[in-house]
Amino acid sequence: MPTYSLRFSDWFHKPALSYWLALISAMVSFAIVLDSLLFPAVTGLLGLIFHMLSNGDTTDESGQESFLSNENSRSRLVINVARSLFVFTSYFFVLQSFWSDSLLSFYGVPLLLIIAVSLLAAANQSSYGGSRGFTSIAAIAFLLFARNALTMYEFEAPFADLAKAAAFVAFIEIAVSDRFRNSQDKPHPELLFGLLLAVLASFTFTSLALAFALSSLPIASFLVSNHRLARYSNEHTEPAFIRQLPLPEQKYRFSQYALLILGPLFISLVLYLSFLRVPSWTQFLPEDPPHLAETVAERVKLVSNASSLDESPARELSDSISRKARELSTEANQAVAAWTRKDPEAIDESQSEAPSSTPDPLPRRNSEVSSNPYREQTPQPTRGRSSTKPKITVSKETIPFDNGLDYETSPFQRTTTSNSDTITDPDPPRATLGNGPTLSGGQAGLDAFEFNETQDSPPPNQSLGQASGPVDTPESATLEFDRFLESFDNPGKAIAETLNLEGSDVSALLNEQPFATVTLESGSNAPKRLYLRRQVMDTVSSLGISSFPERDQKIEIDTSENRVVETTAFQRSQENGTSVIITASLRKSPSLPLPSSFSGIQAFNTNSLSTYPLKRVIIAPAREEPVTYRLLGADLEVSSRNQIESTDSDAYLRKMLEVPLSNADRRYLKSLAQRVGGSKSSPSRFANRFANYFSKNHTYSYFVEIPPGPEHAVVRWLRNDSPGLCSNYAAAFTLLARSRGIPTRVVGGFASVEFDASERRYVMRQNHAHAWVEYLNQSNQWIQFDPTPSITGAELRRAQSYVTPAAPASLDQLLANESRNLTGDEPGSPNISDSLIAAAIREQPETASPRSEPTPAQPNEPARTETPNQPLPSRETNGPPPSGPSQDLSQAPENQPKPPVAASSQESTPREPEPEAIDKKESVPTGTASRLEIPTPSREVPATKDQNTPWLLTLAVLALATPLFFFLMNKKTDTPRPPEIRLRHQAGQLLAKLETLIQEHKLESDAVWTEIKDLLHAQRYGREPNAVLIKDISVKVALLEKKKN
Amino acid sequence: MQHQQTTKITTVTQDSGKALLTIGVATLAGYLFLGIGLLAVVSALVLGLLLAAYFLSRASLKRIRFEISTPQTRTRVGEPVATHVTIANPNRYLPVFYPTISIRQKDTLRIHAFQFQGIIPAKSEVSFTAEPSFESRGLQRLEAFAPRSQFPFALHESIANAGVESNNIIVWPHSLHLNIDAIFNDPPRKAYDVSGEDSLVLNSNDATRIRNYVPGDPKPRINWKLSAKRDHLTVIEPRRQQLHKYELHLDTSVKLWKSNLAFERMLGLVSTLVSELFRRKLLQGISINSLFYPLLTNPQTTRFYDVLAQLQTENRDPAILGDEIFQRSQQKFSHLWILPAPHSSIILSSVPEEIESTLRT
Repeated sequence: MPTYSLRFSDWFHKPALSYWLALISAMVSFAIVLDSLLFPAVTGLLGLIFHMLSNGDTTDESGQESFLSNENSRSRLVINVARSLFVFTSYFFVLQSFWSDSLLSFYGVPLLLIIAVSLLAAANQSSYGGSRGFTSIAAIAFLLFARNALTMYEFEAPFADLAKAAAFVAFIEIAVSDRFRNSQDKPHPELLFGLLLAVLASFTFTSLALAFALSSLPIASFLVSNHRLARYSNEHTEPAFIRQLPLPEQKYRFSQYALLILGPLFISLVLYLSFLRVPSWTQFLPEDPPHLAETVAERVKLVSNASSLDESPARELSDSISRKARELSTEANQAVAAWTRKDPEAIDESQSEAPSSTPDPLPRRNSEVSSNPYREQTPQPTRGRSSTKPKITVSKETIPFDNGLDYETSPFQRTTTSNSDTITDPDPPRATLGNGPTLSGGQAGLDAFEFNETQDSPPPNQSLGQASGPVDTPESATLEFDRFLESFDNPGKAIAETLNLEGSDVSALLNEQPFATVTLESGSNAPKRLYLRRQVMDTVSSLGISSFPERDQKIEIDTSENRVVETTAFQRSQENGTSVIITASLRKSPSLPLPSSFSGIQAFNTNSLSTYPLKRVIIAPAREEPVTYRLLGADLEVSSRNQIESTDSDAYLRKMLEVPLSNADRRYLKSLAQRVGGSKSSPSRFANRFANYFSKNHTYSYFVEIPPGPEHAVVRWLRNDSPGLCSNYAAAFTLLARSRGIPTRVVGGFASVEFDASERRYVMRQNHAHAWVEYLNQSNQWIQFDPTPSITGAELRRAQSYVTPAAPASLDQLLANESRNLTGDEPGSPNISDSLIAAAIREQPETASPRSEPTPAQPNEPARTETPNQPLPSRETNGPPPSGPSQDLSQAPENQPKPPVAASSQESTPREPEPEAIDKKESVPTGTASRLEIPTPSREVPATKDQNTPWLLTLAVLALATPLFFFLMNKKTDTPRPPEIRLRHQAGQLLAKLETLIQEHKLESDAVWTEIKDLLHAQRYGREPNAVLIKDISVKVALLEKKKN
Repeated sequence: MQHQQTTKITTVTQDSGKALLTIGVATLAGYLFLGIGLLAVVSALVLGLLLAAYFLSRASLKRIRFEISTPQTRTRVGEPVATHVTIANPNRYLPVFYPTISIRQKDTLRIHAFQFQGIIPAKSEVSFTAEPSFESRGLQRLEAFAPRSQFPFALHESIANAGVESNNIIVWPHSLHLNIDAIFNDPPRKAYDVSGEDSLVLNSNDATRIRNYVPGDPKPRINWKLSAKRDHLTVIEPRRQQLHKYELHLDTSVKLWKSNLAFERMLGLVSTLVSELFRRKLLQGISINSLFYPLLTNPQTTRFYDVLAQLQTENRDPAILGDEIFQRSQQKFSHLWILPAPHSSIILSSVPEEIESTLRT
């Protein structure tokens, strides 16, 4: 009867080092691709467990098959089944996430397909090499294509999802593969899949060091496993046994193995530097290239822009090396000249001509040919691959070809924060555009010229602010965009009139001034992208889309004394959400940013709020101070499954279907809606198809130009396939959906991905301003839908090169305000609450017009400030749009320590002396200290913006600590023993086993077994152990063990 | 024992190295075409690794020294010889990793490859035991050559073009299986083997076997009890000792052993035959081409085997019939001639007619 041992070491085997390296790199890369840590960590852990369970080394150290290997065949079967189940589950889990619709639509075909693909992967457990992985990728590609064709009417390759799927398959392949033991798999899948994962991950970061780490780990894994396999060079080789005593344990000396690491690294570095010098083939296209070549070149430029690494150190090094080489060659030339000279003047000539006449040691880019600061004293720095110059050159051509790739979820995504170096560049790139002698290529200059032209001659419909103020003023531009979003309370304002349907301003969307912070009280269900609504624009006019306030629906609520007010009208989700604390600056708009569903509100420093339940909008009395409020039971991401049906009146719904345009326009919209969206498709499918259509035909761009014409701006935008901003997409979608008969409205607000996991806080900045739509589906649910395609990295960089961020100190102000309000309002200085109430009362009748808000707030301010005169004017000038000062872009960063910061810090100072609040003392004890302390975190803001940081750190800890643990574990259990002692040990174990067996089977008198026992005894304690004999006896003992009593 | 400085090193890229090369070239092409930054890193890493491994693998073997020696001086064909191989690694930094060395009998084709599954650190030497075997009998020597290693990372295998030789070893012929009883015309009876009625007769005490001790008798045979009774040193002889011992005769004429294969096989069979008869103590000696070799003691047997190891055929007529020993011993029962038999076997015969007929065919 087989006995199953319960010892840990019998069931779990040591994972091989190569497996560790491969798994770690795969986990890091996969987490970067997915942008989440949980799934890779869990899957990796399970894969590790299965690896340790099932990949037990069936051979012992001498390479002989262990006789015990067959014993666990039944448990092996169980393990294999469990592993298949695991693969199936994880495939199913991942694949169903690709399918947005119900799996049971189309007669359950999607479900069947997903199950089939998962089964294929799960059943295919013993195939050779990477074939299973590639089979899975192919199957998933088919599945994704079917999905796109069925639901979105799209027949292009689904690059983004495919990239994710490929990353997943590669990860699973590495996690559950059994090729890290004595397998001689030739294609080395851990290398191929690991590198594939690294490449996929490299589209989302710019760090050269991370790229190096991610690409070297799979190679290291390959080398380790290869090294292990190389111990047995081939099957014809016999082992040679060491004759002398074993060598004394070698102490690790770095010098002995340094060559092994440093040699390859050095050669790699040289190769890498020389690779950097190879020019891109896209620069050598002929004048009139064939269309295909041109398209391919555009795509290549896109990809290379998206995947560029932070190569600046490498570039500098390579520059200095080439300089050195040049100097050397110059010296050599001089030496040669001196050697062969006939007259002394020749030297001078050769010296003066040397720099230009010597050939470059390395091939160089055309822009770098004349850039040798040592010799020629040219002022401009040398520019390498990913310098700003190619970006600008490329961007204009890039946009029209940016059709197929969905950059929202694509692996080519590049976060905005990664390009912060561009923003903080002290030289505004625009200044260098005009006069930089290196940028002599006609395209760059032309682009700059065209850009200025579009800015200087705005379309006729453009607003006052944009036409009057200098275009690159961030403040005025922000206000322009805000006015678009503020139109809820300005009934006459139409979208087209303010902004965005005819032309746009870049800087509005690139102003990084923090506007609100959203703190979750439990960070478990933080959505990746948080949408906060502020306004609902549901009234279409011939000019655009705007928001008429429904005055009869306005409900005033009293929120004084931190009272919690139940707001059932705002609850859209059946789930009990979490509590959320939002601190928002309402200087420019009185409407509060709100999540899509919450059940109660508790406002801390306002006494009353006006709510509009139909549109689910709340207006606070306008005021200068940021408002802090807590939302109870907030569901930040309402799924259609949990959503409560709306009970809107038919009249309102009918209004949501109005398209008050000319007949021709309406006809065009209707035909387009039916052609692309389908005449009978469900609203969700309609929405998906149009999202696709937009991403293919309308590039997202900050530089919107719509040709003038008699038609409505939306129709012109649609007809000309113009690039657009979020408001263009939202407006166009609304009109199209309405003409198909789907009630739709535009929602304005903020969408932020900037989540700080440690603080559980989202930061909303001005550039997170966004517009999306809500449509009513068949189940009477208002579905939040974002038709805007995501922005390309190139476009973002292009736009960012014109804008610098505003003072980040206001974030600290927001945070300070939040903590102040939360620690308690009761001490909170009767001055404030009184003044707030006064302000609120005064503003209430005026329905909180944003224009008038700073003015009433102004009288309250001087009473509280110690230095009233300095901060106030600066603050005031920032406030109202008409008087918006034209701050130059280049001066904005230098303004940081100046009045605005001082004002904000000083404003908070008067509250410090209050003795009751402990938190206040901790944060800002004295007035002078507050000035010094507050800016310090503000400098960290750009650094912490990098959302990768926390879990990258976690991954690094995981990657370092876990192998260390196992290393220590291995070291304890596995002490190397000479073969003879091992044999003796084995004989001893067998002897003990045999003695118990003999007792069990009552064989004491059996001569045969007694003899075997004697033999074993001799093997154990005798002169020379005999491996063959011990193996023989072990078989006999095993047989005896299996014999029944 | 010889020392030899290596001169030339050949490097063969292994399969894994080729796979890496493919990846490096493919990623480089991908980088050049697509401009993906990571591909440049990968390509540089992979190709740099390959190049560095190439140079390191050559450098680690460049100064390797090794020697081979065998402690034993005699062996048989096909039997493993304990051979000591010492590899010295005079490098300053580079270790020699899992070195493999080829050993073969000099001037033969069959190679034994031995791998030392350990690392030879820099500036140290290691001595290990390999067990090659010889292909042919005679005075032979072993040759160790082509030390090679897959260091580092098993991407390339570099092979040093060097070789050393061991001292001479006498290689005896391989002993082949032989059914001894079947090849005798008159199968020899073993000592003390009795059967049937003989046993009854022989069980009784035979007084004639009790005799006085004469010098030269083996001392264990002295029966001390009887000696005490008779007051003489008395010896009891074994009851039916095989008194006659065989004497073998071998002629190495080409005419007799027509093919070299048959001759070699005969040598193998003879070596088995001699060892078996020697073990049974039935052998007096063997005469090879009229030269007599007594086979009574171990040194004598060893000497005989040494002769056998270097025995060659002689291009002349078989001299058995005209031999004086043949003439003299024709009548004797215990003189046996080793003669060829069908299927490259041998037969032992003392019957003159039979011998003559064999010689004639």
